Amino acid sequence: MTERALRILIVEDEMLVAMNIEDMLLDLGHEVAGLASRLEPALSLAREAAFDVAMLDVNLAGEASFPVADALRERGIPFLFATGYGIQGIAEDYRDAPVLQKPFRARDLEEALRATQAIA
Amino acid sequence: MASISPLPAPSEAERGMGEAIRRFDWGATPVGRRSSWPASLRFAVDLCERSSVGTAVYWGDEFRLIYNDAFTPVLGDRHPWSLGRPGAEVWGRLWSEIRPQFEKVRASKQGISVYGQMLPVTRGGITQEAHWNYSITPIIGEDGEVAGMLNQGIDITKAVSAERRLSFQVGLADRLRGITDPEEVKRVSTQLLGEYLGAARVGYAEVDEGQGTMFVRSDWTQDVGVESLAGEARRMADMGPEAIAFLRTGEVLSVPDIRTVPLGPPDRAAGWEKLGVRSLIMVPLVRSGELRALLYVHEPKPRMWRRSDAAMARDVAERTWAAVERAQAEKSLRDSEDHYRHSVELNPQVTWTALPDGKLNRVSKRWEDWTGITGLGESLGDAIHPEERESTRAAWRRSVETGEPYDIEHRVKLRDGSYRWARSRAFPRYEDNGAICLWYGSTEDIHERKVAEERQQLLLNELNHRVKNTLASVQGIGSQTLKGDIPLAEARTRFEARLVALSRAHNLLTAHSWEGASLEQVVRDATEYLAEDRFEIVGEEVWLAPRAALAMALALHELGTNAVKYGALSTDQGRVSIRWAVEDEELRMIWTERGGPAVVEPTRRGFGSRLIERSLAADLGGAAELSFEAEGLCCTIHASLAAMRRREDRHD
Repeated sequence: MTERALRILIVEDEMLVAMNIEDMLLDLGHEVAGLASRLEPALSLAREAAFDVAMLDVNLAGEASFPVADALRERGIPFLFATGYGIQGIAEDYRDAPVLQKPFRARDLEEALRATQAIA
Repeated sequence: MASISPLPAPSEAERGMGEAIRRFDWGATPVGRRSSWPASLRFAVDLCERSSVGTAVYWGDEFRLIYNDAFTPVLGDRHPWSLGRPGAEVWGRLWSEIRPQFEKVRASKQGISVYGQMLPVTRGGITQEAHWNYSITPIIGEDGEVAGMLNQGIDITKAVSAERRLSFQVGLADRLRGITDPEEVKRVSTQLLGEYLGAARVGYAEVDEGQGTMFVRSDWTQDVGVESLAGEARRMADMGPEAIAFLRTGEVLSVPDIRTVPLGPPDRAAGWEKLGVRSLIMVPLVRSGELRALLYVHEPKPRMWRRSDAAMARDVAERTWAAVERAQAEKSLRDSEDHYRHSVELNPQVTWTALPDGKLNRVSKRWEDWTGITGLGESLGDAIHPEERESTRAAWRRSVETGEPYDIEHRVKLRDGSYRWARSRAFPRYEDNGAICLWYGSTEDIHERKVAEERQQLLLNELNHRVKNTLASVQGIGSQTLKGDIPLAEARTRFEARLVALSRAHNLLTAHSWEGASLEQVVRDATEYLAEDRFEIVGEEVWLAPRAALAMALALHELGTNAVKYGALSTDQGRVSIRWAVEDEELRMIWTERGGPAVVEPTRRGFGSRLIERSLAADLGGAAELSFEAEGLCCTIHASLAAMRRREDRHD
């Protein structure tokens, strides 16, 4: 368990998976700050919403989510990736962020979240 | 015969023919008793006895023969039998050649000289050619007529032979020059030697000491009556160990008569004679202590080989070998060049060689055909794709420095500007001192393979991605199904049904190579198995990308399950209408249940509702709304066509 409850932005285009992540986060004692399943809404949330960590699916209905990662970097907000491709699916520049290989367990998610806090 | 030697003392001569002439019973011949000889005859015989030159006196009408010691070689085996006999008897068949000369002298009373007359001589039963220069001088009797002939001659056989040898050798050299086929060299030289020696058979055998065999490709025979030894491998051992041992020393073996000088035991001599060999010359070619070849001269009769015959055979053998070796070397060089050209020009690979410093000195023309540049020197790297150029050059430098084999894949820029994948390899060849003398390299087009490999890797990655995402969906379905206090048996049934729905949708997509599916297919597939003829399905053709198709299939499954349990399909009369239409690039779809029990809006949203309202809306890029109207459930879906058709082929 992390020391404190985190507010988390979920960027995930498959709603079934997003719903599961939501449940996992709530079970872990965190709070879902927002959910986006497409690049454009994800970008605006990344630039404006108030949250502590973002979870990024890499493929958003055919568009890469790396611009979201860039926006987050600008704001100094930590993020992690959750992807079916694993680390190979992550562009070189972003490999310092924790990567969750789908499917993952709640405890993997918690660990990745903690890692983002350590980096931050 | 050109040397001048002092006259032998008469006493010595007397011990030879002088003595024989004195003891001969001349009275029994027309010559008459010695005491009755006329002065001219006595003088002539005295001259004859004292001459150092071969001299004979032919006396009387029968030309009875009186001769000195120096004349005996002319007679060969007919000495001493010839003394006192008539010329016709002494010379036999040759008399017809000699007699006209005598008649001419008798008629003209003038001496004549004959140059280069060939008179075969038989010695020890073996007949040889001999050549003579001689004079015939008339001896005038007391009656003024010619009473006899004084015949003086010298053997010029050696000079004749030397001249023949010389012209033969010049002729042979002329013939062999310019012959490029080793077999032709053998054919010409054996033929010329056979004709020169007047032999029956001359041939050239290749010897394989390792196998213990000899092989003759072709040989020369005097005429068709002489059997050829060509085309058959023979055992070396048949020659006999003595002959083999002798030949290994490199000396020429010449045997005048196989019966008197047997090669090995008697049965072996019989073996030779079976091959038509009574006398022979064999010249060995020895290299590194091993017999490599034999030149042989065979005769079916005994033959007293002259030393010059053996020398000539050796000379021909050596010339032949030199020519054969040269021709073979030229042929193998030609073969090798031809081979090289074929491997280089006709090979789909580019082959090349490089000097120890790494500069290419030979590049097959194909490279220029491919790239438009020669590839010589360091220019080959110019055609390599910029992304691999440095790494390729670095790998080559490393190989050149360390001698490690070179093996790298890189793209090559073709004349038309396109790139193809290639694999370049090279191996060094070392000199005896361990230094690299040349690199042998090849560059092979592996584009098809490389592209196929890339495609396969892409497919594997895609498959992995798809499986992982599917597992994540299954995980979501599982945890959503198990949520809340639902009995385990019920949860299991629902979970299984949802997995089956997912699986059916996968089948549909697989049937279309995961390109997508039509909306109508998805609808029918998701509903028909629930209840036949209870659905009304009306809508135009709309294409769904895989993700949209999956979301739609799962949503329809939830709606259908709900209808069967609580809605229109839970009664016998209930019906479900599914209609859709496209307007302004937007799909509007309505699921309407009628004829079922009265509907009451649930107090709590279950997984089905959440899946429809959230998942479907998100996955289709639109909105979904459930309205629990009293006469039946109604689900309205709005979706963007663009979102539903969007494919996520690759990555991210």
